[in-house]
Amino acid sequence: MEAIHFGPMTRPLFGLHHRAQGAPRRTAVLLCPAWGPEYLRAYRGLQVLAKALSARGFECLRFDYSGTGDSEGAALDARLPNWIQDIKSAAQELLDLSGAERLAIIGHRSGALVAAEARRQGVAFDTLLALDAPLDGASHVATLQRIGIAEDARRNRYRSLGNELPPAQADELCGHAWPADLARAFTGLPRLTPDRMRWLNSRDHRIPSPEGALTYTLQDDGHWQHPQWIYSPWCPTPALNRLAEDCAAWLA
Amino acid sequence: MARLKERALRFGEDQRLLGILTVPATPLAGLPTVIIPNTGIDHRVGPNRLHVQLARALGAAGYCTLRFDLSGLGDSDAPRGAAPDASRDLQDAVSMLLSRQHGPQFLLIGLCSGAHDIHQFAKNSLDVMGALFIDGYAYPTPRFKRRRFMQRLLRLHRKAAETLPSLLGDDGESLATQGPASSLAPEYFRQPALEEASADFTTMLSRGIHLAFLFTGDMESEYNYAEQHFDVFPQLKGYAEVWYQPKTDHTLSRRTSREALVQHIREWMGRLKD
Repeated sequence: MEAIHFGPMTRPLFGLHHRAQGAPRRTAVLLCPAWGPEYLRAYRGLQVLAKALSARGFECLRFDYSGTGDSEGAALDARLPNWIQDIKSAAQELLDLSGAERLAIIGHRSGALVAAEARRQGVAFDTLLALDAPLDGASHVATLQRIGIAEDARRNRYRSLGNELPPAQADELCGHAWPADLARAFTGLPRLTPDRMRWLNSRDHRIPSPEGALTYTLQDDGHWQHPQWIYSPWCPTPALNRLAEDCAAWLA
Repeated sequence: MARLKERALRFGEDQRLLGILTVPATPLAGLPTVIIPNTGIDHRVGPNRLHVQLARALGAAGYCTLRFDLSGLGDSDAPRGAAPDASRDLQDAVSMLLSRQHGPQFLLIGLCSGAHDIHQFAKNSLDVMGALFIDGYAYPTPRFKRRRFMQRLLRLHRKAAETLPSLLGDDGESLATQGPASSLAPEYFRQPALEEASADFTTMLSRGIHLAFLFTGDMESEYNYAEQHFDVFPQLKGYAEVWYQPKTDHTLSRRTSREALVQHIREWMGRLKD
């Protein structure tokens, strides 16, 4: 695994390139993370998945959108159009690094919605694997808002009168910067369509996939809907290894 | 951040640790290099990206900062055939930075499990000149217990049925043993016996290590008034700073609290420089 910076000089992105072990496959895999608390929860899990995929011959790249994680930019400056460009940059970087002919994207939670939006806006890739994808942007934001409210209530329950947390500002969600432009664009992200994609759902994923969709069930739970899991790591290693094994059957 | 550089570094045995070094365009001479290990299970960016914000703010003030993943967290691998050892990882970080002409003195910042990790390292290290512990070890005093009892009584007004059992015994709210999130959260650290912690702080002071402590409102079940730490560790009075922020939460989920913390730290480090 090699840490790299790539993308525009004005907005360099941080990424981690996992080299394929053994003969590389024709398809490389780009991992698009979720946002906010789900990004933090799943960080190690996506690393485990990328390692498992690289062990099966896939060149992989994980990266942080601008204004998030280790990438350049302030969180309050994060914008969806920039993230679309970030996916485009990351896809090109991975193809350049790997020499692969085909590209698959694994989009985790909101990362799947953002990747689908990138495809609609002309970013070329062959397959989208949507890992625990929300129904759409609006329902996802509603889930995060519910979790944020529940978490604040939990914290305040154990505080003395007068020591309650101040209310979150309009541009904060679950403790993360949530600028109005990003919130608007995120909320407007539409449902996924089953064109060149596959749904990868944790066992407790309750969102129905569209009719005719290719659906795969992970052998573990995600707990993405539950406030009490907001700080618990998501890293179901056996299920992710199994998923990597099955990806090897689906992708060339 | 135009004048800062950020570089990913691999270091330690088998190059298995990964960190991000933030370097100002013109580092100021004579300043310590700052090291920030993980908080809980969050990778090196920290809760709500706190560590990134902090490293960049300190970089703007001329400090170099390494934020890195301890063994088995984030992008750092666990050691082969051995249990993860945060003190060894921190020593690897110091050695790597010294080899790159950073230091020679280091200031450590740790939140929650990070506070525990830097405590255990700082008590044995000759390279550390300062340490800031955020929601680290906290020990009860008689005054704490009185206030706690009153707080519980007052809480009856809010939710009598829920509070009544907690008046009768341990209500299971301990941050140190259960983590701040819920009973589902992993156990982050166990604090040492009071006597051991006291001896450690005495050792740190004797080495001239500057100490600061921040306690947030999420620690209320263990820390509930500003002077509590000085009442427990009187040797710290006059030699350490304690900041009590009852309206701040453990993961600094409000931007205003993160900005206030960054400002606090910059001012404290400025005083050390003077």
